[in-house]
Amino acid sequence: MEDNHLNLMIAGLSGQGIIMVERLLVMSLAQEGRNVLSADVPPWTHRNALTYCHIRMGEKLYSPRIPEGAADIIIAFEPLVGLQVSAVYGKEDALVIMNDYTVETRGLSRDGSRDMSGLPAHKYPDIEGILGHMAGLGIDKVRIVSGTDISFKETGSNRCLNMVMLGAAYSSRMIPVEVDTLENHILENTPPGTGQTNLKAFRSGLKLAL
Amino acid sequence: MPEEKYVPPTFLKWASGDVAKDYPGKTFIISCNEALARGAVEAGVRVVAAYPGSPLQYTIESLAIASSIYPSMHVEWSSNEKVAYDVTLGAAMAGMRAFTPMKQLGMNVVIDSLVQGANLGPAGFVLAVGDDPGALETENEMDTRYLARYAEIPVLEPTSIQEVKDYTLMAFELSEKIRLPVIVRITTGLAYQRSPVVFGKIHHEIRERDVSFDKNRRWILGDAFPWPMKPFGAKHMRFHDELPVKEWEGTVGSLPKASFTKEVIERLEWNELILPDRPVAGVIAVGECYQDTMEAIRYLGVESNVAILKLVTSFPIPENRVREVLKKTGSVLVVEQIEPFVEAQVCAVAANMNSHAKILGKLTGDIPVCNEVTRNIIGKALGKMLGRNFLPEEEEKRIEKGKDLLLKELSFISPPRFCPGCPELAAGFALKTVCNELYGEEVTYIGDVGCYGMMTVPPLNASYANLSMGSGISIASGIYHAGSKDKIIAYIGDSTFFHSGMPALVNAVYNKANLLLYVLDNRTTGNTGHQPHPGAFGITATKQATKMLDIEEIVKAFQVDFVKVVDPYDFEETTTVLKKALEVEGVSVVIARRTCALLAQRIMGLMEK
Ligand SMILES: Cc1ncc(C[n+]2csc(CCOP(=O)(O)OP(=O)(O)O)c2C)c(N)n1
Ligand code: SF4
Repeated sequence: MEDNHLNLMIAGLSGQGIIMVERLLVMSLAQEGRNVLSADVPPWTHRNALTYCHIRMGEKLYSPRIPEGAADIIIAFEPLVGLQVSAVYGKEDALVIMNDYTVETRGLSRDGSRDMSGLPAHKYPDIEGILGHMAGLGIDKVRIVSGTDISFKETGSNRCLNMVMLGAAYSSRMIPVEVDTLENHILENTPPGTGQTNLKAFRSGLKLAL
Repeated sequence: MPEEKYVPPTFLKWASGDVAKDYPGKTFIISCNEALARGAVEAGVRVVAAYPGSPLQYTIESLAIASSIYPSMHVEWSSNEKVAYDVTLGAAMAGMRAFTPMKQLGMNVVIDSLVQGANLGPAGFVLAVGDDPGALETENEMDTRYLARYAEIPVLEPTSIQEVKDYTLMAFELSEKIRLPVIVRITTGLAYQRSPVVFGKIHHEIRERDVSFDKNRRWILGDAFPWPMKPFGAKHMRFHDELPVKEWEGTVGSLPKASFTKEVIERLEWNELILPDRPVAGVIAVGECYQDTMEAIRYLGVESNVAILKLVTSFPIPENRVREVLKKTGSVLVVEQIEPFVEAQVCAVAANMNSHAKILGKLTGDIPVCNEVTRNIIGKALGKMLGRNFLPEEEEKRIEKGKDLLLKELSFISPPRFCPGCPELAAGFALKTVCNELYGEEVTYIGDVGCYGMMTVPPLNASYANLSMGSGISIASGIYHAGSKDKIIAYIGDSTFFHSGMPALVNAVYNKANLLLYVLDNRTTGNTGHQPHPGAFGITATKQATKMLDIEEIVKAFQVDFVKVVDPYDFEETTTVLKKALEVEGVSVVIARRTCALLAQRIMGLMEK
């Protein structure tokens, strides 16, 4: 980490709840007196488009945008998204926390037939290939998480994937914030009525102790 | 002094209206769009109008919430940008502060009123424009500052979210002082940032002041000047201090001159100059670029020996401050997004003062013109000035390798496609099926701007062109009049129809074009995030019930030769009607009507926003 800075990137597909994680992290870091800035990337209206956000923390910050090749941590909600974002922003030796569930969209499908919109698709690359590409860029600290499965198991739907991934990332001990602070924000600042479920999902990610 | 307790900044609670409430001195973490809205609210804005377009469409959502707290405030989605501009200009002429945010392409649409409106000398009138370096989310990378210059109105470029809020507020004051519209330019990189912003006082008294439309002021472009003075030329003369002021007191003569505007800008503290004793180099960093320039300077560890001019007023530039930088340094790097707009002005200043300072930037190729200017690009140019590397060579290679990988080996990942269940995809599929069967290759499809722009790509390949909003019908007509023997199809979306499709359709009917207009009526402005429009659900920007205009009734009044509404989910019905419509000579219209799948899910509450 360059002089006490932390560059954290969260990446996924639109609709996966990335901005929510960004908000919770920024609020928690700010509450503990950290100097923190953030930016999302132009969100697309359409479902399942690549989207990501930058969070930067440090004593002296001018820009919230992580320079290319400078992200310390990348939380990726989908494998190919993880590769795409790591290839541009990942620091050599960056820690990547990656969900293993592949979403059949953007012209990709597991069997190479049709994607979620019913349009002809290319075959989704296998995980080994993705990890190989990343290692080729010096990014070999990749922690794979079955986030979508855990979310289903713990909460009955995939909508808490974002909280599972947040928990998993937090368990790496690289995010300098108290767990109570983060959990309080999860309870108070997620949509009304979802606090407990989100907390449960967060804790199930936490248990992975990466 | 008692120690101040640390109060952490918080996010605004969504839809809480906090962005518009009195919280002087309190810090909130807000987005750029919210900061624009907050600045306007603090300024006591009375009328806001806009047509949706990224990256500034969310400003209206915040202001719509504000108007539910302050009922005298009017906030509207207008049918297009020029309409929005004219509405807000009118409000400014009536003595109220008025605001219109738009995307960069919107500037092209308002340009006629913009240039002439500046001549009228309105006050308290602010535009926000979202430029898109790298065309990350629009169809074109254009620099609207040239249009501002063309209209001879000042441009402010805030360098942080706090400044977006502050300078939007102050833009209204500036506009009143110099009697010109003022533009706040936002670039995409800034447009999606969030950061803590200290709120100021809201000028309720300004918002609630009385209307004061001055009927004696002659709000026209020509004035009753005696021959041989040219009536229409006079208004332009004020921009160049060429008007014989005294004679024309009470008319244009009483409007502030260009030299006054320059003086005001020169005195602004916003353009901060940090000038060490013996700077090794100079940098002029414009707007958003200030952030990454400072990051690069910090990374190089040369904070204390570089002269830095943070430039907020990119037109006109504060010439005295630029002169100071030029006098003190042998070389100056100008950093800005998109075109070398400030750089050219700096070159002119240097030439006039016979400076020998080298001016580096986009004109010299040290910074590329296209795509976003980022920290690494700035760092490289700075490093070159200082005779050293920015990033280690290996690191640069590694980053290049990463990008190469995406471009060469992962190029099969497609950009967004139609969402699952999209009615426009269904409509396109039905049309393509019919046309393949009836005409084979002998069909020319012309698109327009909206989600259905995705018809151009596989697998539909059912659109060969799209240009600007509302242009599809006329391009298709032109192809017909040029003598094409193909069956000619033009697409248009419902929001685009109201934006600028209607005059084009009138023209096609009047001039006897022979084409099928396929209206993709998904009851919303889909591509920009589902804003309502005159034909969608009868609801305004502020969620008031209003009249709903029916495209079918409108085109009937235009005397088209055939019109029918179909449900694109019903393949049988859609194909049958299309076949009928295609047989008709003249202008036939088929309206494929079904609510956008995303919006429908949202309405049914199946999805969070
Ligand atoms: C002059 C101009 N203003 C705004 C935009 C932004 N824009 C792009 S697509 C679009 C939506 C068009 O809506 P509609 O015609 O209903 O089509 P849909 O996206 O719903 O299919 C808008 C507003 C633009 N491209 N050009
Ligand atoms: S936003 Fe709506 S209209 Fe646009 S592609 Fe998605 S479903 Fe279709």
